[in-house]
This record gives sequence, structure tokens and C-alpha cells, in this order.
Amino acid sequence: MTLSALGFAVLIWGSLALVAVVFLYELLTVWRDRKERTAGSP
Amino acid sequence: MVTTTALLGLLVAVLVVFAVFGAWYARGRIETVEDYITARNSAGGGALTATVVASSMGAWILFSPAEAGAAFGGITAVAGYAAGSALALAAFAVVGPRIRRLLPEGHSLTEYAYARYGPVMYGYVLLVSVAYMFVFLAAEFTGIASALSLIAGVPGWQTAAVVGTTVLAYTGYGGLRASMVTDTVQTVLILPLLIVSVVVTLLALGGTNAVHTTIVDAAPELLTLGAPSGLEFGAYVVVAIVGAEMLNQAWWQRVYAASDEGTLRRSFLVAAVAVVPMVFLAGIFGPVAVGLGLVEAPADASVSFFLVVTEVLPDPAVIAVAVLAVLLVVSSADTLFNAIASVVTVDLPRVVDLSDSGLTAAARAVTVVVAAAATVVGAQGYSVLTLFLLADLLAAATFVPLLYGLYSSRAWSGGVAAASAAGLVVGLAFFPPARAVLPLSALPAASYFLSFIGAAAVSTGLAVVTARLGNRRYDLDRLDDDGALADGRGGER
Repeated sequence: MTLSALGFAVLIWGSLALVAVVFLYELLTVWRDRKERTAGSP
Repeated sequence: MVTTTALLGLLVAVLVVFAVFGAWYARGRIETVEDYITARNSAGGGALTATVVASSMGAWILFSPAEAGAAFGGITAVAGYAAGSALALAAFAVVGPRIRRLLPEGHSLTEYAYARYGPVMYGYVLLVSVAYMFVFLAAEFTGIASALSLIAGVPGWQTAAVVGTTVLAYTGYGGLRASMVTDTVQTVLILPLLIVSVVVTLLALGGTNAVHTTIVDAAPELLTLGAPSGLEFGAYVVVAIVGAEMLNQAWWQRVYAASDEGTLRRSFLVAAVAVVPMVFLAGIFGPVAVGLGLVEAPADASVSFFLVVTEVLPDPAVIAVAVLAVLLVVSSADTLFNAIASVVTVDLPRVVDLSDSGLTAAARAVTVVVAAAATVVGAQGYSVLTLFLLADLLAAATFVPLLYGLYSSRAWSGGVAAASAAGLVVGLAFFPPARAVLPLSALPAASYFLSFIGAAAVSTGLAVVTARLGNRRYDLDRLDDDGALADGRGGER
């Protein structure tokens, strides 16, 4: 079965969206770590 | 056309920024060899996820998945690549906490091998692990050298020398801590750069529908779901990647660097999720290159990504892709420099009596040697594919017997060594490059599928059988004490 044009588009844009979500998660987690570290330091 | 001078200048500028940042961060933080090679319990979720993503995403994602998509079974083969890459990281979310619990003061996989199985398995694991990591490193240097040569005619030795020198500057000085902090910045740059590179390329090609039509018109089989060749490739590449990555010291270092078990589990799982779309996006460039008629010779398949980019993108976008490729190499090269240095350094107290500062100096010296060797090999432009596959095969025959000892008290050194050896013999018997030198024509035709699946299946089966038959018991609770004795920590207790 050959991947349809719609399936292909979903695969590509879905992958891009997932990478973007991971990027935002990464930014958020780094920011949170930094905030916790700052709060924990004297 | 991007000029050699402009690209090399940009490359130097980017790398010097990372070298200065990594060295600045590590300043005052490296007081012991522990700080240099372990950074124990120091990484929170953000830093750990970033370093796992950055370390796993080498320049190989711009070469191998696209090659698989173009030459080894299209989209199904790319899916296999993505699954293998993700499973390897997900496996550490399971095995990692177990390693920390059983060997809380450990450092490396070789230390575990020595403590659990003794010197024979230790020597074998050390050989396989260092061989795999060095071939990986050499492939990264070879890859970036060929990519920048294709984009702007940069001589391979210049690329390798600039990358090797700058990465050495901050990794040699700051060790794992410098590697991890630069990984965070690299991940934050790599992810959006990959998104931009793919979106710009898609737009330049007329959108996903136009790209789909281009591929279907030229090679519809590359978009066939479940194509037999793709399934076969996908199956063995999963075993190859998972096996090799379980013996990659870089992950064992990060298991210990995690601040706690929850962070460890979450970070490896997030990285596993991240790897899948990244491999897919890079892999689709293979079928695209075939669709555009850019893959004229078999060797072109491995540079499909760069053939498409240089064909359809304007110069500024090509430069962005070159920066992406350099970041990918740097993020995995610093990891591997330190991983190889750590696996050697951890074992030094067993053979020579060195102070802590002496050990740190030794780790730095090993980093220099590894960087020099990778630079020299990378500049040659060798094809490292066969070496890579051989290192993967060694790992495929070893990883289950090795890790079985984390879960089974019955696993014993002779049994797992025999299981690994038998797995390797079976794997080699069906390993295509080995057929040229081994008189095995009576056997069924060689294939990578039979080779990798056979190696993993036989080594797994024999590890279990010998454990059952051996009727020996090892108290897993004493693993940390044995590790302490093995690496010289015992004297301090």
C-alpha cells in the first residue's frame, strides 16, 4: 500500500509539530530548572 | 554558491563561541576526576533531556536515515531507523534506574562488566564499546567533512581539524560538564534549525503534495508501507542500533549524571519521542532525492539530504543547514570524546596507582589522543560503513548477555562469554562482508538481517540457557561493593 498524499502530509507536518513540541518542552524545562536553582541558592 | 572561505569562517566562529562558552562554564567546576567524567546527580530534567537529544542526534541523522529511505526500503526503512533510535533511548529509561540502584557509586559499563562478570567479559566489553564509540566518532567527522565539501568545497582536513580542535578545547578542559552545558544550547538551536530546514525545503519544492507526486512518479515503492525490503532493513537496524547504544558509555555517564531516577526516566523517554520525528524528517530526503533524480550512483544515497538542499535552497538556507550539520557533529563529538576518555580513566586505578589529579590529567590526555585520532581518520574520507556494521554486530552479540546480569542472579561469566561468542560466530557466518574471506558457501545466503537477528537471538538464548544450567547464584546486592573493589574505591571504605 502506497502512502497517500494526505498520509504523507500528516506524516511530515505531524513530525514537524512533534519536534516543535519537544523544543517548547525543552525551553520550559530548562527555564524551570534554572528558576529552581536560583530559588535554592542562598 | 556558498564560498569555501565564508563557510569555513562561519564554522570557526560558531565553534569558537561554543568552545569559549563550554570552557567558561566548566571553570572552577572541575575539582576531581568525578566532576570530569561523571558529574554525578547534577543534571535536572532540562539539561538531561537536552544532552541526551543532542548526544544521540549526530550528523548521522542527515546521512543514514535518508540513505535508508533512498536505497534500503523507502519509508518503511526510515520507520525502522526511527524505531531503533527511539527504542535504544527508551531502554535506558528502564535499565538506567536499575543500574543506579545496583551500582549507585558506579561510573561505566566496563566497571559493571568487571564487577559482575570478571576480567574476560570486561576485556571484551571494553573492546566492543571503545570500537563502537570510535567508529561512531570517525563516521561523524567523515560525514561533516564530506557534507561541507559538497556544499562549498571545503577540504576535508580543514573541516576535521577545525571541529576536532575546538571541540577538544572545551571538552578536554571541562569534561562531561562542559559537554552537557553546550549540549543544552546545541539542542535549543538544533531543533528549530531542523524545523526551518525542512519547512523551507518543502516550500521550495512546492509543498507536501508536490513532493508526494514527485516521489510517486519516480519511485512509488519508496512510499510503500510495509515494503519487504524496508521491513527487513527495519528489523535488523533496530537490533543493530539498540545493541550498539546499550554499549555506548555516553548513556551510562548520563544515567549517573541525572539528578534522580524520575528525571532519568522522563528525560530518556522524552528524547526517545523526539528522535522519531527527527529521523523521519531527515529520512524523507532520501525518497525526495530519488524523486528529483539526484541519486545517480549508489554512493549518492548517503548524501541525499545535502543533494536536495544544495539543489533547491538559496545560499542563506544552505548555510543554515551547514550550521545545523556542524552543531549535530559537535554535540555528539564532545559526548564521545568524554565517553571514551571516561571508560579508559575509570579502569586506570586497577593497573596504575594515580592520585585524583593524576587521573584527571590522564582523562584529559586520553581526550587529546581520541580527538587527534578522530580528526586524522575523519579527514581521510574513508568509507566507515563496514566498520560501523562490524562494531554493531559485536554489540548485537553482546548486549543481552551483558545486561542480563543486571536482572538474573544466575547469569555467570563463562555462560555469558560463551553466549556472546556463539552469537558473534553466527552473526559473522551471515555477515555479508565476512563471506568474502570465510569459506562458508554451504550456508544459506548471507544477509544483514540473518546476521544481526541471528547474533542477538543466539546470544540471548544461550545466556538464558547457560544461566539455568549453571546453577550458580550471584548476590546482586553486592554488585556495588564488587564495583568499588574493581575500580579502586574499595580502599577508601
